[in-house]
Amino acid sequence: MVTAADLSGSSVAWWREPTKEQWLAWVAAWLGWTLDAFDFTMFLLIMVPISQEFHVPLTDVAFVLSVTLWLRLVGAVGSGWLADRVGRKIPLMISILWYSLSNFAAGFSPTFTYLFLFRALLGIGMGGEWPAGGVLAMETWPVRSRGFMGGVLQGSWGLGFMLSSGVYGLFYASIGWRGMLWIGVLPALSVFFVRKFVKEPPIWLENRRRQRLEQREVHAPLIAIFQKQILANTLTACVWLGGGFIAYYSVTLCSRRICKRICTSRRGWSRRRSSSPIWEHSWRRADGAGGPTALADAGRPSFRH
Amino acid sequence: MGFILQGMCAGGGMQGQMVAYLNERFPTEIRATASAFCYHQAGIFGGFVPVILTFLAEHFGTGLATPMIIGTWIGCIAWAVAVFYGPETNGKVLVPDLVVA
Repeated sequence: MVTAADLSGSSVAWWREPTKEQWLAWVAAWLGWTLDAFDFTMFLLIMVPISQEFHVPLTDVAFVLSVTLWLRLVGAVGSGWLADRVGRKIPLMISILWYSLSNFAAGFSPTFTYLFLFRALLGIGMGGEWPAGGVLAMETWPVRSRGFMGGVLQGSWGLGFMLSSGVYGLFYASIGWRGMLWIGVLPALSVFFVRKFVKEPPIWLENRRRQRLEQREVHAPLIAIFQKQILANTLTACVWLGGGFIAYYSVTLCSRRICKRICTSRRGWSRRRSSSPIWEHSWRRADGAGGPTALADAGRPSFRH
Repeated sequence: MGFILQGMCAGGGMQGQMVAYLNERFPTEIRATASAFCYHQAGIFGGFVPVILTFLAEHFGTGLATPMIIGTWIGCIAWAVAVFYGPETNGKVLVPDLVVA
């Protein structure tokens, strides 16, 4: 195995090291993930007008988000499977199209059930983008700065949220919540970029070729990850991420309570929209605030990642 | 301030390495499926945390602080144990070799 020590001899700056193809692959994944965040988080900003229009409680609207997040597992495993079998590009394009179109369709909702359905479907596309994009970028990117660029990729979720807040601040007054959802179709344009400029990672192509050549194709990767030789790896990864998320959400429960206290003490929940600055809106929505008590509030799902 | 710091450390610090580490630790044949499954099953666990903690707080009348501390400890211990037993992938070059039988 070649290690970083062998490679660190190069005097090239790390950002000059990747080739154009490698940058394009990373940008594809980055676009997919950031715009994914854009489409998902915009819903946090328009939950109140939606609950008013359809006369449903805000908790029901918030439940849409939970369902979206649960369905991510379905989308992720489906797209991961596809990515391992037919290549990283196709599932990436499908999932970007999927979440953009779901969002667009949700903008036409005549009833709350319809909206619920399409925002739930969005979760499948959303989950699908992450593995396909992540694998594409990480397999392509040079090893030296892979960790860092992986971090930038993952962290760009926040950038997507900033983007949706920005669009909300600039255009919400004129286009309303339906218009916001319609704007969510724009990420679909990035599919053209992926299709035209991005190449499959050479590692995957070679691996696939050998699988065919040696007739050792892995037909069902979801089952293969529970095989004896991989199982320990899979389980430690599951516990690692599970533990991380449990700790993360346990801690953020606290900050959401504090935040809620600040928000409610300053001004009542009843005063929405209009004059208050944009960041305060996203802040409050992002924390699912608006419940009658801090406890009920804390019971809501978290909306990160 | 605390909120921002916490967001930087927890959100950035914890989640920053996920993509790279997940993709480095699995062989090419199953890389996408494995990282997808591991990450998103964790997301579902995480999604239940606020609900469970709130339930515990109400059921035992302890307030939110105690369940939160317990939740954080369980999460951190699980995380540390898993990282300890997980493979080291620093500097690993991804190769097209067939690994899965």
